[in-house]
Amino acid sequence: MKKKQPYWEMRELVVIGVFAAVTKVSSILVALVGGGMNPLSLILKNLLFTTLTIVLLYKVRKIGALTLFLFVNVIVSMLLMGGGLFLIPPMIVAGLAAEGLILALGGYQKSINLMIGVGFYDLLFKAGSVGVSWLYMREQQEMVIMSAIIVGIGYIGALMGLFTGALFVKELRHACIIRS
Amino acid sequence: MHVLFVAEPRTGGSGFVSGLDVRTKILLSLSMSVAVIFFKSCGSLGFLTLATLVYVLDLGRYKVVSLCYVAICLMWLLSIGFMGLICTMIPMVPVTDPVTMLIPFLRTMVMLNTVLVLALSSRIQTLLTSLKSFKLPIWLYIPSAVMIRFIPSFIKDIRQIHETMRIRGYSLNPIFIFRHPRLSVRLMAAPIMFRALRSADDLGVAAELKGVGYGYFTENNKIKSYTPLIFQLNDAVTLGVTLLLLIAAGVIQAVWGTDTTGMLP
Repeated sequence: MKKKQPYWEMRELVVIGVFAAVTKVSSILVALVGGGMNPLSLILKNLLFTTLTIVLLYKVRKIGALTLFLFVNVIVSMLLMGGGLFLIPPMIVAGLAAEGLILALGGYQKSINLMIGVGFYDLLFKAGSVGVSWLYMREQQEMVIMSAIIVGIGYIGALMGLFTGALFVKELRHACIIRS
Repeated sequence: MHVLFVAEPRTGGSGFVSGLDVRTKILLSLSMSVAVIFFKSCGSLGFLTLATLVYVLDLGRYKVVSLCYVAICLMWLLSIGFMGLICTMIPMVPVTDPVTMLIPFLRTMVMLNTVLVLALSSRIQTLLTSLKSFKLPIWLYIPSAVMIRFIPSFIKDIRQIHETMRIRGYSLNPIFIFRHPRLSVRLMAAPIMFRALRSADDLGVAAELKGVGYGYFTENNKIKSYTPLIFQLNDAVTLGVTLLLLIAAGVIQAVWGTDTTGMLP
């Protein structure tokens, strides 16, 4: 009897896991090398995250890739760090909305859809994370305003990351690492 | 394959906390992360900070713990300084006392204590085994396992990339990033990306050739963990004490709790 082909290939799952690790480590690396929370390291951190997400979506062009990548990221953060628990709802909602937008625009095959989808995810998630920061710092609502400014600065990096992601994909295609 | 032969991290010795089941530590970390959201008084959060400090000190890693605490205290002092600056520049922002400013940092300290225990006293293999014991679907378990396994190897790759940059005459530090942001991105992101994609391809092929994932959680799956997880009396006691501590913190909040402060209603 012929077995049903699973939706996710093992290679794709491994790529998602590796990229989840790379985004986590590179975020920590930028925070350490950049000397803590300053505008430039914030922009750089978000830029790297978005760039890596774009490259991942070019590599794994399947519906659900973005949500699964975010889910793995958040599950490991939750199990190992605890603090990410309340970021799950905004992250998953933003991921699902972005996937919906990509589908509505014509799917994963068009490169521009990936960029719009990731940009939309970043915007939604950043708005959600400001809400979560209000939960954590509601006694100090001045700090919530400060964190909203910080998130806004981070979003500039995320927007730049969309274009650097596309540039990297171009280079990776030349190197035949991404073939699609 | 290099990724599969990464040395295990140093664990936290043979104390009471080190002997706990990793699932107990994860559960404790999760319950504290939820609790710190609901507690908002200095008393209840201070009480939880002290309780979790006893928990983390049992590991005997005093240097790491004190370094983390010094960093948090520095951030608190910095925020007091900046708040003073904002109050001077914008008079409509009310002046906040340092004790109230401490509350978000107390939340961080509680989380830090529980996370440090998990990070310093758990082996990677034990974490993977506990992840498997949660019966996650394969499409979630495989990427999570790869992520946990890949991080130590990737940190070594980063060190190699850093050494390569130093050989070429570049030194990545805050001043260099400020002076050459574009070059920093190129020097850092490009090798990281190439390395990650190559490793992902290698690992993917290796996983397929080894038949990873076939028979996962089926009746034919006879693979057992080398170090089985055992839930002992210590774990039950720890979880019971945690529950009592949370109830006590709730009582402190109810009796000596403070109202929300700030310029917004």
